[in-house]
Amino acid sequence: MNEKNKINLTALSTLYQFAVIVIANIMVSGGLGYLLHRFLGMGKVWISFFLLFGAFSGIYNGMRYLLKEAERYDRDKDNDDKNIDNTGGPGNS
Amino acid sequence: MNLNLTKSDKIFLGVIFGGYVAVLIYMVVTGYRFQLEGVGQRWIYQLPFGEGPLSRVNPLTIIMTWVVMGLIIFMATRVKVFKIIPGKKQSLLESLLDYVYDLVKDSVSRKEYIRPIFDIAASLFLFVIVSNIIGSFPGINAFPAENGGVTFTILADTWYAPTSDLNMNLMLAFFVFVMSHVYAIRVKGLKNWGKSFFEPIWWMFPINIIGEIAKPISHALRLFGNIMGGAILALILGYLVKYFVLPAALWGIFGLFFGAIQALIFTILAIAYISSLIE
Repeated sequence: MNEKNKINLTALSTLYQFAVIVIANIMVSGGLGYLLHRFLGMGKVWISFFLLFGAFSGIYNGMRYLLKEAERYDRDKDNDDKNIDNTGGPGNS
Repeated sequence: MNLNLTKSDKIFLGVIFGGYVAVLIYMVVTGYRFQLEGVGQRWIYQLPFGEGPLSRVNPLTIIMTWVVMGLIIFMATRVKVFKIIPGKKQSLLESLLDYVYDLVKDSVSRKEYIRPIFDIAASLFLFVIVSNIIGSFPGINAFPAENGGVTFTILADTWYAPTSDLNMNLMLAFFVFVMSHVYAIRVKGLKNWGKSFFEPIWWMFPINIIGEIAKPISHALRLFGNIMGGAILALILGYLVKYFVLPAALWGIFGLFFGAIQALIFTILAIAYISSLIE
């Protein structure tokens, strides 16, 4: 297996974590909607509203996580690509 | 492969092997039968007072938690005197803890918080890995019987791992959740910490709250699902082929390999959750 075809486990775990964040947010939000329906007598439509809200929240939080990971990846000096200037300067080309 | 065992190692392994042989002989002589009744069910004890949500306990979780804690304390007393040239147990502990320390050092940007976060992470790591590994050895387990009593199974199942109980994992994840916010308050101050829930705009508040609650939930369910699923799968396959080669290998995979990986993931996530809030 050459360098190009190697599975990047760090990237894979980041992706997996993104999926887990989305699912967990939907679960928590949906659970919240169910509790409101069950104990406060709110209509069933709130469950679907909260599920959609959870999906939105999950994608937002997941994106935030991905951006944070990307930032950390850039900060790590070992990952610096020599051909790309990511210091914010005018570039070296 | 060359195995160099000292005399005490041989005695230790001999005692374990002898114990298993003795139980095997007992099972053959008394005609002990494997059974799959009550798989996945828990021995629940109703406390004599009240009917509320805190009136039921899971005795096996409590007992095995104390056993795991006892094992860790016993391990610590064995390597109490740290030497410059480490022995076997000391090297094992040092390499494990060194690895966790490097993880903490890499992800925590503030120097003064490395040590306390390492203490939390290493305690979690040792507890989870010992309890997961315990769950990979055949031993004593308990299931509720039909008439309300308890059936104890000997060697038909693995030792009960405390981390295969969701309550334990939720408690650990909740502890990490609370500690991460305590550190966040200490670093940012109460006002800035509260303000961080209203970023980037104020109406993002519910989304931030749900995102925060989702962290301990996914943290706990991940460990629970892996350990519990592994335990049930190994038990059912063990029942189907009754102690041939396959279940032993499966026990090894689900207990030792997945157990160690899940302990590591649990620790990494705990570090990540704490360090993401104090940046």
